[in-house]
Amino acid sequence: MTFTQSQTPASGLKVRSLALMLVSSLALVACASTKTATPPIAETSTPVAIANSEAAPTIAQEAPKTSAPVASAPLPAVTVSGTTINAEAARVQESLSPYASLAEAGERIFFPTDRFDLTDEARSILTRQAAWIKANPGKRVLIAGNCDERGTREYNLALGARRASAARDFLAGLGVDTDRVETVSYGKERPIDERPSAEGWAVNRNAQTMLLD
Amino acid sequence: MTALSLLFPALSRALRPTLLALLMAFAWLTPALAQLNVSVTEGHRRPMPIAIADFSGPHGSSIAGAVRDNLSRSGLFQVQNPDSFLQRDVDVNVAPRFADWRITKTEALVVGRGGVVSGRLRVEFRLWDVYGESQMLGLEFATTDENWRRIAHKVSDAIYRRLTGEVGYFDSRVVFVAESGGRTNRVKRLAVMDQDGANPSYLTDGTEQVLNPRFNAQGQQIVYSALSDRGIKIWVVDIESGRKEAVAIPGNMAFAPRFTPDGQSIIFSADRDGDVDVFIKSLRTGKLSQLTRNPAIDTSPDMSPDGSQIVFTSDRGGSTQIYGMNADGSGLRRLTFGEGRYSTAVWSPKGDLIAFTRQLGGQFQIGVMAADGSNLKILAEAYLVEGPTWSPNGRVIMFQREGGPGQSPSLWTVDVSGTNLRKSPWSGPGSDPGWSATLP
Repeated sequence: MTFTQSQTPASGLKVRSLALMLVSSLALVACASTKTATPPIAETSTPVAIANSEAAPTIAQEAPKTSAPVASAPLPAVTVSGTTINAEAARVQESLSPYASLAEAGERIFFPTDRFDLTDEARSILTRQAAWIKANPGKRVLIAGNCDERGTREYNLALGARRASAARDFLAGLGVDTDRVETVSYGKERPIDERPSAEGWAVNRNAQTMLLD
Repeated sequence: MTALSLLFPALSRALRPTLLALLMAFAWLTPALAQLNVSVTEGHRRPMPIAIADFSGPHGSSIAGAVRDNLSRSGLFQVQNPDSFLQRDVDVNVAPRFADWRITKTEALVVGRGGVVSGRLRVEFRLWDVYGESQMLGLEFATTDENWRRIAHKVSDAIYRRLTGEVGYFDSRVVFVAESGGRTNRVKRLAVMDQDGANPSYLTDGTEQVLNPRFNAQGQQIVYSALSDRGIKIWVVDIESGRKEAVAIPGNMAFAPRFTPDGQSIIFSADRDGDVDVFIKSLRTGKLSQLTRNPAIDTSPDMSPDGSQIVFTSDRGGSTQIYGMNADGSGLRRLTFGEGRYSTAVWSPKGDLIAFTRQLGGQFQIGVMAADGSNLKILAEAYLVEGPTWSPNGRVIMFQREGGPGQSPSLWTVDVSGTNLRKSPWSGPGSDPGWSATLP
């Protein structure tokens, strides 16, 4: 008996995975400042002087965990003529983000074992993601839920879907248009940490927000 | 046809037993012969000593070797080493020297012969009761030359059935996921092999990660899910033609598919905004029905062989447990209550038992229980075991096993009696086995 092997259609879709962040980056996102949270940046096309560190969403209770500050350098002032077209406006808004990229805002949030509710730390990272997404209106993101290897395959696919949805719902609560957010679950199929230990599993329980081309 | 067609209704055209009255099996049953049988239920107290002499003719020693391997792996037989044989001049048409075989305490003896007739391989064999000094079985099979292994499996099934009273399972295939690559960049290809690990072939190229493939009851189609960057989709592949077809399901996440027993529908779970529920879709009419409506996770559905019941995994009660319901979604009931997390329930071929995966105390276990959740019994435990699948006769369970942290997954089997735990002859990393029915 022989089998013809036919090609599985390629998805044709490209996900740009932003710099794979390692565990250490988890701490990195929780820095910046301890000031009270500021509202998301208002979308405006009027000339703006600068997005400085004051505009950055902040973490309410958490003290800085590392000494490495988030690089949020002041941007050059931008002036816009009164006849700005939409594309121009979008470009200006983009420059309003306190983060140069989604990766800088923080790509991954992490979850306790078999849970999909958001920790305070996860909320603060999502708040930063929301600021970036809203400041970049032309962009769409994909949130992928991931699980550690200590569950059955099918259950973990479902759990990952819940994690991704929890992240999306939080972004929506901050005013992000859900049409710009796709979700997917990779279950336990795409771990980023090889260690078969509690430390490795903790890293693999996450939801990753990626930029869609 | 003859009495043989009654005994072996499933024998196919491909292997149509040109077998004639030639070897009228069962003709004379002696009292001594009645004692020669093997119990498959109680974890066999003592494997039966059986000798399989090399068959004469084309593929003769290979066929005998495959029969020996099959019977040996079943755990029910002590297969005698050919080096110990005192009689070397066996002939399928001559009664063996029983006294010689009794010296080595051999209780059953298989003698066979092959030949090519009209371009087809014909193999005949006899099963002898050494102590009863009588023939228990005589059959002949014919097929194409390259199909000789299937003859070995048919011979094994016939011997198994004659000596245990149970239908055999050797002439069957296993679909599974062949794994390669590192842990963080795993390649997962759809593969299919004979139950003894022979004749492996790949049905996908590894572009997408293939998960949880399963045969339909007719053995002609496989349903599986394929994970890509943007979602997970359900596919059906036809084995003969190799043709693949995606099953259209709203949303970008549909997984955990299985065929219904009639092969006409698939039952699966799908994500709707973070809520995973159980659905059924007819492959003929395209009709889609939602069977569970609960904000909890409902996944891993499986329909009972008679089509009346569905078991599935849910965390609606707070912990992950196995639930049952009627085929239309009514009559919900919880089946497991014990410690630990229960998932991936699978009906036995007869519908009397349910195999499952349990997580308890940092380990994973494979177990079986009655259809109502009673009489729970654990068969295997390790760092990771999951994804049980039943042999066609319901006597053996195959599953995926990782012996310890960081180990590659491999395929293992255990008898439903809880004995005879062993690694599958397939040596490579593999997961998500799905056992076919016996081949037609």
